[in-house]
Amino acid sequence: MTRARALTLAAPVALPLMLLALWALAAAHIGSPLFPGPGKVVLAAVQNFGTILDQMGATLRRVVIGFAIAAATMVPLGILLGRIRLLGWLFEPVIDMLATLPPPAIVPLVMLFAGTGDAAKVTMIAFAAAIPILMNTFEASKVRNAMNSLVARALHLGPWETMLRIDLPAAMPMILTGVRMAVAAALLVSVTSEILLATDGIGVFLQRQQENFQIAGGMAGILAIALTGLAVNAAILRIEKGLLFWHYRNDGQNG
Amino acid sequence: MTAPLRLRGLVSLLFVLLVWEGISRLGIVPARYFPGLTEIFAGAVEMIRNGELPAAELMTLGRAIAGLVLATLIGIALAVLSDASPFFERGFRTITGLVQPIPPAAIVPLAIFGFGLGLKLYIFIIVMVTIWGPYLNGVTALRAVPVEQILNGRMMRMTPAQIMWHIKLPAAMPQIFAGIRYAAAVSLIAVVVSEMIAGRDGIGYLLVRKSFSIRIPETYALMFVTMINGVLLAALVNLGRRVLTGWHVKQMGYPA
Amino acid sequence: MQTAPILEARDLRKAFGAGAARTPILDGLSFSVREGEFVAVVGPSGCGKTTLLMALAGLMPADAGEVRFRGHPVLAPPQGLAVVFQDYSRSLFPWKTALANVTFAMRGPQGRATKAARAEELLQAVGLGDALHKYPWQLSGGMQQRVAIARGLASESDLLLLDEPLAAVDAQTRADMQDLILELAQRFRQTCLLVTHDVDEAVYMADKVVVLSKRPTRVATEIEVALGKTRDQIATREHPDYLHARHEVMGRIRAFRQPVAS
Repeated sequence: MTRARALTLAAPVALPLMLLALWALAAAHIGSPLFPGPGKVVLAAVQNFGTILDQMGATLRRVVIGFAIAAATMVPLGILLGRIRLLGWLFEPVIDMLATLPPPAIVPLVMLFAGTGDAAKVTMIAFAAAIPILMNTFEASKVRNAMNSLVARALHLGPWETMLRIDLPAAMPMILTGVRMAVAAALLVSVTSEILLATDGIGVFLQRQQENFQIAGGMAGILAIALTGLAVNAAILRIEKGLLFWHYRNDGQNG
Repeated sequence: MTAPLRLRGLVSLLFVLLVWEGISRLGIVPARYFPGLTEIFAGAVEMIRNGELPAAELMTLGRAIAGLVLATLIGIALAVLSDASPFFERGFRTITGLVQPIPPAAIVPLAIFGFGLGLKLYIFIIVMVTIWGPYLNGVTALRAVPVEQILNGRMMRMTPAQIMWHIKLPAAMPQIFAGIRYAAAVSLIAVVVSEMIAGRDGIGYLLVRKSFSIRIPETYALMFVTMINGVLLAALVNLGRRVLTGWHVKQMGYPA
Repeated sequence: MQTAPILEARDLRKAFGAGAARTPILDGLSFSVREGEFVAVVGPSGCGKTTLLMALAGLMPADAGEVRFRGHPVLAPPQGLAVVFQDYSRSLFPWKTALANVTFAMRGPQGRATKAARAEELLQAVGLGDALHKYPWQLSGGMQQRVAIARGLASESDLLLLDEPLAAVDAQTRADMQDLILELAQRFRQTCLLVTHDVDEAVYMADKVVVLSKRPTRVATEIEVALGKTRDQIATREHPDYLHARHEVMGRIRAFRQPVAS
């Protein structure tokens, strides 16, 4: 193996490993319990493995339910607004305004109406996920490909069939971008609501670690969130590639 | 914005306000939870009068802007570094993949240990969350600079550093600004969330305090304020974009 | 009096790829350019004209052989050498006006006012006196290339390399710009090396035409064009000396064509 090839293979991990080594050295040098080295974090992760898994599961459960509610309601609504020009015209500035609302700002308001329980949290997550999904579905539905409608008419497709078989796939790329933004917002609101309103979830885990000065434990929690986020993103990308292979080939892009 | 669009914005706003008033007056939702517009407005005015709102706005906007500027500079610097060293770029890509998905709220509890409860905390969180926009856009933009322009620089016997400063960075600026626009929205989210969790002042803190004290009109008013902040920050970034990359704005045919 | 050539290429060799995939492009290329000459380099497509230009300009190191500019070996872009690239849309800086693009090429210690005045003079010489403060996207293709030419002249180089400057310009404009380049070269006493795929253009504009072979490329022949410095699009192109030179160059190049299966 040539030196160049070895370097190329090592590159993705070389820098992170170097930083890891630097961190370990710094921690050893500072020697304070408030600055744990990577080793301590791994240890904390192992010790708290069960708890982290449980809490992460609780968070994800809510995220999935809230997201599902948002998608189920907002995709049809977005398509409706995109198709019925008057409605879309009327509501577009409102949607644009909602786009500037930071998702976590929803939490206090919903808390006032729904309290702090699971249902309340799911509502918050649903609201946060709803906005990007609505925005992107709406935007994607506005585009009306003349060729597509002609094809639909030629095939004698009814309005519902047209929407399902032709319009929806055409709108998919943009909708999926909205999905990615919605997942990020959902995760953020979930963690925020847990930190502010307790009960359970990874946010609560982080908060407890902080209260007990367990920095390593907290970092293990953050690591769990990062890995989960990575996994979710990868999954969405996989789904995207599966659903949209035609789109990428069409555009001649590398996925 | 052309006249018809302005008109549409107004009509739409009026429509929404009317619906809001309607819902509140008709009692479809308990009036408690759906205060009329006058109440919300009164709440906002009161917060302005006793100085709560202006002080909070100053804190929040100040932090967001300061963090955004720093994140942009760091992001661009890292993009330049990545352009010069593919080895660094590849390694940093791994870090990006790991750190970018972390929601700012998750960072706050631990960050307090390292940075206390002052400005440093907010700056740290904003940077952690927003450098990705300018960085990623910077890397692709620098890579896409037409080779002819770089060759021109070499023919003029410029050093690589001069080529980066005089040629590559100006060429990359429009795309970097697209990243900054995105980062601006995210920085606001980061500030508000940090203030909500750890703050002792700022809009986020005020929002939590008012809602925990069941002051509903004020809560609505503050949510509206956060929306306005988003618009304000976007306008600021647009101003910067026109100043620094005006040539591109006109080239692309955007309304100046 | 025979002065030393301003540019000299000696036995240039350049190959791309390694091992089994190694493709020689330039294979022992030698020629020279004297001061005041207008030399055209022409060859069959794919013969590595651009590679040659990159090597001459010091932008790409040759594998073997050498390039000498004013007697000194070229290892990096030397002082006194300027290039006009083919793709003007990508070579002009879109964030600078026409004037700024031209002044940017003046790296000397003169003051801003001096540079601006000279840039204005050059832009007027190329017929863009009204477009000083326009941005490239506001100018037509021909106009953009004229800015690029003005920029090439601005550096007051001893040798101006032009890489197929008119290939991307429409045919009508091309004729006008050929004359413009010739006029400027005379007016500013600019030695030029023009790389082109267009045989007519090469013979029309040059004092000497260097004909390249196909890959692996060397100089097939050099043809002096004794048509004097005043050229005319109609008269010159009907002149027997022009037709003779064109006939010879074209013959050489077409001899390198791949046989077409019948």
